Amino acid sequence: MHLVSVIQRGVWAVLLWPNLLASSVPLDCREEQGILSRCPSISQEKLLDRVIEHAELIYRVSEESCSLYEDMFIPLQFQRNQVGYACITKTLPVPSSKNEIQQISDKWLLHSVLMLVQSWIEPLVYLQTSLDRYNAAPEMLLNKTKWVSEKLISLEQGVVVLIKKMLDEGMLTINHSEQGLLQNGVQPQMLESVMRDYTLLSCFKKDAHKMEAFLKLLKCRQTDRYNCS
Amino acid sequence: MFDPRDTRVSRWSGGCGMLWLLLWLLPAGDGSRMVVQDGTYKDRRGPEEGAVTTRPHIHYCRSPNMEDFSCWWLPLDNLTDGEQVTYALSYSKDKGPRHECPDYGTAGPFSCHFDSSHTSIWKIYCLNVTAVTASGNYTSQEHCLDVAEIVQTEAPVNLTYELTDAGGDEMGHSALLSWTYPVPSDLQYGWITLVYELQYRRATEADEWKVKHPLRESRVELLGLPVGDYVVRVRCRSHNYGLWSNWSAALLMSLPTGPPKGKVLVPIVVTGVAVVALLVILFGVMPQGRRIKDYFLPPIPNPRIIGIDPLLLKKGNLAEINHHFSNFHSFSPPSYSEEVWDQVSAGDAFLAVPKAFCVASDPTGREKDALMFPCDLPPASAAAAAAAAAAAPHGVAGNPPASYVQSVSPYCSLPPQAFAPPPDRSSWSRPEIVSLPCTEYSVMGHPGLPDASAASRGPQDFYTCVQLMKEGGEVHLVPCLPPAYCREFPPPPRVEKKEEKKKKKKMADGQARTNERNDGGEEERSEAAVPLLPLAVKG
Repeated sequence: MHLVSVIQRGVWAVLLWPNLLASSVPLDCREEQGILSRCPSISQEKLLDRVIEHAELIYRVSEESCSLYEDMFIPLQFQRNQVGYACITKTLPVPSSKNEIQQISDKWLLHSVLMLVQSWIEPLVYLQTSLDRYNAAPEMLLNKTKWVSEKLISLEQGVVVLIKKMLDEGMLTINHSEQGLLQNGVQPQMLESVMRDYTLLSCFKKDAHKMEAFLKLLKCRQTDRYNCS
Repeated sequence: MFDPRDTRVSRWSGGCGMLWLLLWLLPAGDGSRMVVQDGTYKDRRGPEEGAVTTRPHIHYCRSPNMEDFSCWWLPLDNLTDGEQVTYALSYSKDKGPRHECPDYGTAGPFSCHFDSSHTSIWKIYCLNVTAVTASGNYTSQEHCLDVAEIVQTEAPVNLTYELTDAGGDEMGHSALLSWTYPVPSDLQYGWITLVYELQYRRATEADEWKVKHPLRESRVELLGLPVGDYVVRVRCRSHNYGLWSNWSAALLMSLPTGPPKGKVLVPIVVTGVAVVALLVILFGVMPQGRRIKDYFLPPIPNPRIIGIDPLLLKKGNLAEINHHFSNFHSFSPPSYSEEVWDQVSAGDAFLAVPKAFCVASDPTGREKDALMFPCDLPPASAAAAAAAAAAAPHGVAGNPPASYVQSVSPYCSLPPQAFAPPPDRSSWSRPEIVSLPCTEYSVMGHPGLPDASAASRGPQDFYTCVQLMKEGGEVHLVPCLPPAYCREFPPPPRVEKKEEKKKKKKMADGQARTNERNDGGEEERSEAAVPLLPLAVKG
């Protein structure tokens, strides 16, 4: 009798465990036909896809802004070539050669992206104020740079969430210790504001491309580890 | 005492019953989750739908552009009259702390609006709303959403159509449909990329929609639609997130019967023209075929020399031939009668110092050209003659015979020859106005010319000379008389001397010219056939 009741309870428990757990919040989402179930966070694949799209968009708009700026304010080719050496993010421990990138781990890829993103939030705000002071800056350029700086903040949030999800790390504090980067990186010979702004824009364009590339590489590694470049 | 077997059986049966109960409950347990899912999905019907609720229910959440979103809930129904109710919505993101709704009013009553600063596409929002009444708090079910998943763009607007001729081999019309998205700022920078779907059907066939999908641009061309009425509608969606928008307002498109006017007109005109042309050809042209052919393609004439009819030469009689040939210049028909030769002394013949010259037809056999014949006139009148000959000739027919003055000039050095009397010699005997052959002068014939010299009158009869020139420019013409009469008449009065020098110069030039012409003419004449002058000859 005792045994039977135990068995009964056991059977109850076994058969009812999904219902028991239903009221509690599950740790992971299960998607059925794209419809969201009661889960507290977005799946990792979706997150990664969205982050990549975000980064693509940011890169595209920054590229457009840079070429707009070039056409308006930098007519000579030799001036355009000068900016390659003065990017402010040179000092960051971000991998830059193809070899390095291939050897780096997923974790460091993500962290590099985060570092890049975080290091650009302040300078973009600075760029925005600088452009506002121009007489002849076109409306579209201003709007684009503003949009980019907003979306960059959003991207930062996304990357943080992604890191938390992928790497199971705790809540990362938004680290703005790179604030001093701008002052450190300014070359003395580039005090002219037009060249300085152009430097900022084109460096940001390059870094945005880097972010996008890292994220795409990450995505590729999720699906097929050994076939990515 | 209990029978142990009975209790066992009863317990087992109870257990089995419970088992069956469990088994029956299992799908229900899963179903509750399904219900939740359906709830979050089905509830996006629209905020207007009402339902009987004992507690509030968040039934509709939507983001138009993935930058902000709103949620609507259904209020409590079972309220007693006069009861105050307030609603409070709270949300959390990804198991984070709960916050209150930032904006209750923007989206209307019983709604909560999250602006862009409160919207994150990286986290899931879980919301619930609590109705606070006097009798207690009623909390709705938890409603969770992912912002990107609830993106529903606005319906397209301004759906219009433009008809064009189908062109090519297509019959009927082509319709170019175009529409616009009502909030173009959302599409800036590529934040949202739209894909469209268009459906159309004939007005008479309900529910048989033809679909055009996917469309990346906000226009499409439907080719070769047959005649009739159509209903068209279009909707859009963000290409990788979210839901289809509502349908745009349906557009009624009617294609007129028949092709556009321009297409009908051309064949009609062409057919009409062709029919008319055919009729003209049948009834107008063909009977006149030969004439038209002759008009357009005149028959090539057989080669002929003017005036010589080969048939005539073959079988005409001699008189006719002579008559024809006499029209030629310098032809003298062979005379078979005895020639009468006049004696002419050397003194009579004046060597020509050509002071004036006349154009005449020279019937000598030797010269066939029109000959510039020097007339020996006194200088004044000779000059006048030169001037007059250079000028347009006037008819001087109006001279009355009374002022007719005989020419004094001896006639010109022409070897006398006997001629057969020219056919129009008889006209000389009468004082009538004669238009001389190859001249344009008409002159009064002198009645008194003696017939004795008729035989000896030769080419001079055909010539006329300018005797004098009047002040008005008129020239006075007289026939060039044979020398027999020259001595009888006094010379005409001389004209003023002051014109002499000029006129002498002219004469010299004229003389030089005449000499040249004569020389050249002689050369020519010695050569082969000389072309006949197509002068009108009055026979």
